[in-house]
Amino acid sequence: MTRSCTTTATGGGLRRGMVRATAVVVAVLMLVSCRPEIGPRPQSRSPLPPTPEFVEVTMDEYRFDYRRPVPPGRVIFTVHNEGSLDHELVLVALPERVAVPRKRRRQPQLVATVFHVRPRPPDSERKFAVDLTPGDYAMLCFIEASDGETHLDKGMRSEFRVR
Amino acid sequence: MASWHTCSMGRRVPRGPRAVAGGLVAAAAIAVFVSAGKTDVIRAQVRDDLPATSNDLRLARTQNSPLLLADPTNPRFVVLAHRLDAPTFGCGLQVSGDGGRTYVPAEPVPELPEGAEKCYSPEVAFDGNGTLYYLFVGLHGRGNTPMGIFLTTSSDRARTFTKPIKVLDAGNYQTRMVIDPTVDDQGRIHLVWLHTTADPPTGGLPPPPNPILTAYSDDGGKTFSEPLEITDPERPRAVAPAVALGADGALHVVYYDLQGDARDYQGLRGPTWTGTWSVVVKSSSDRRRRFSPAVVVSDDVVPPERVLLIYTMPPPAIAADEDDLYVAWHDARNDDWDVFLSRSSDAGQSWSAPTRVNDDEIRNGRHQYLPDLSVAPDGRVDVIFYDRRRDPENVRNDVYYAYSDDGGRTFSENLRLTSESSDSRTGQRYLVPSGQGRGDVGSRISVLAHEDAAVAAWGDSRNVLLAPYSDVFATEIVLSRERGAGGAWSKVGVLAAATAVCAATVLVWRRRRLSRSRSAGESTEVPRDTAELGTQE
Repeated sequence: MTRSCTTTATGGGLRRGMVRATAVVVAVLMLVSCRPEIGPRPQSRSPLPPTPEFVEVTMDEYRFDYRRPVPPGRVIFTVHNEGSLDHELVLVALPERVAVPRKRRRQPQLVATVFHVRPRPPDSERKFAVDLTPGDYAMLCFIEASDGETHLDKGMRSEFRVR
Repeated sequence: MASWHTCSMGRRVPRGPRAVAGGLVAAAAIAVFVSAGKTDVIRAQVRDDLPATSNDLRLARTQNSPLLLADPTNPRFVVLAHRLDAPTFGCGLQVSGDGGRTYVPAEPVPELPEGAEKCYSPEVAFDGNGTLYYLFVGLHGRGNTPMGIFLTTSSDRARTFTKPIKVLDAGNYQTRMVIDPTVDDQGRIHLVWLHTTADPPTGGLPPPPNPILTAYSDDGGKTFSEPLEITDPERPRAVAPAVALGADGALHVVYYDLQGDARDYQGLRGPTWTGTWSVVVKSSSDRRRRFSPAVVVSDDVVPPERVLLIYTMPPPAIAADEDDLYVAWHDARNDDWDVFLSRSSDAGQSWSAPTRVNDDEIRNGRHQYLPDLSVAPDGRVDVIFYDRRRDPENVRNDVYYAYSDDGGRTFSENLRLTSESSDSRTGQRYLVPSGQGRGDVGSRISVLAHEDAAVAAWGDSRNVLLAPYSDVFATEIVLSRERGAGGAWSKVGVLAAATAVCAATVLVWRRRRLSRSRSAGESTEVPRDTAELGTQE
């Protein structure tokens, strides 16, 4: 009986203790939640802007190498000349159903130049950014080789599609 | 005979070991003092510079005059507002989600306000909630006549903007904006601008007075207070204001006083003014807009050349933190152009003698110009400027960076930020008497100081094919703070101190233990030589 009473008394104490502890926790939580905000209040929940795409282009005799596909939007091109000759990069937007000729034509077809990396010496680099919209593009090099052919004639051209 | 003295606890401890222990503790103190005396050194590392704007030869653009700003609620969101000078006047905005390292485009003014045909000369500011305020000039007509100053805002990180509202009428120029985030919920928008009192002639301002005015808005720009004139009547040719907020919301406005230089002020023909200008600061004592009399920062500003176009004249740079206020500008007092900085530690009431920031050889005939500055949270002062030190012809621009870790008294070795130089002669050309057909590289470049980095942006024509054409390039300077020349010293010092203290403690403890054991025996005296041997009793 005594043990029983003692046990009851202990259980009651425990319960009271738990109730008090819970009350203290609730009070602290209420105080914390009511505390005025300190410092700037972020209003904007919008995500941060994306980073632009980076495309590394390697120029060599006689080709352009780069990762595909090239995405739409802001693209930063880093162009390295890893060849032993000067090279240029003329980035053109191709109208629909116009392909880059394998040889320079006598009557060249006008296409819009998006960007022109002027002739660069070996082991040099140039960076530029363009905002690409979906469509067909090409990289071309019109520098004339010592035999009179252009680098384009020798195959230095590359087409890509931005979707 | 051994010698003794009494310790504070009344126990007798041998003097020799105590002297040794005292010596060790003293050595430790000296080691700590020496290592603590060494100053920190900031290591700066410049990352690759990258284009922050795009270009397209189908509609080649001249882009310059960037202004960088970080969202106070998330410094990783950085905006870059800039000017377009060709093929037509315009304004741009690039946004970054990586603290200013890379950028993508935003469109702050998809529809121009009624009557405006072009947007020009943007300014940006954030309020304390992260709302972006974008201020611009509306232009119309073939003469690009300003028809008002407009304000638009974005609360979704520059994805959408509100319809622009007109905040100033025509006849107002060189408008700057800053927001005090501590006033009410929306913050207080301060505007400072140059007001013309008559129709301006081509390329110049009408004769004085054309005062610099200020007004504020506490309702997000819907209404503004009555304009208050902050230029003094004795300085009638005040132009090119710039503004910064100091401690307790004090407003500091810096401007050039062209003194007697009516030629540049009114855009008249003629050679460069041979007199001097002044750099002047007006400061409000507090948010109540009571301005003190103008305080001269420097009276010896030798004009570097004719002002290209008075409406877009580059202002002095100004920045503040809780303790200090800094102003930077360039002038030709050393024959070629140098960048100078002055500091005020009393809220703009007095200014230090100018410090030359660029560290190339003085009077070498190479220009440094168009500085911008920013103060990091730890008080580091970052400065960038155009620099032609690498070109014997004094034509090709680079951008250099320097920091000060002692409040602008001294500056670090200058660091080149550009991986390639660009031609300073490209850019929009103005057919006005003062312009003389010169190219315009823009009216500002920009640096933004973070705690452990700085980002910089500038107009850059390295990719030019046909002038006018230019991009804005940007880079990041990563800064790490290390112990100075004493970096190794500090480690050795702390190690030596710790060793000395340990050795002293062990020595004293063992002596006391020995002393107690002796006092329990037949004699309380321990021969000095035995005590020093310690364990050999």
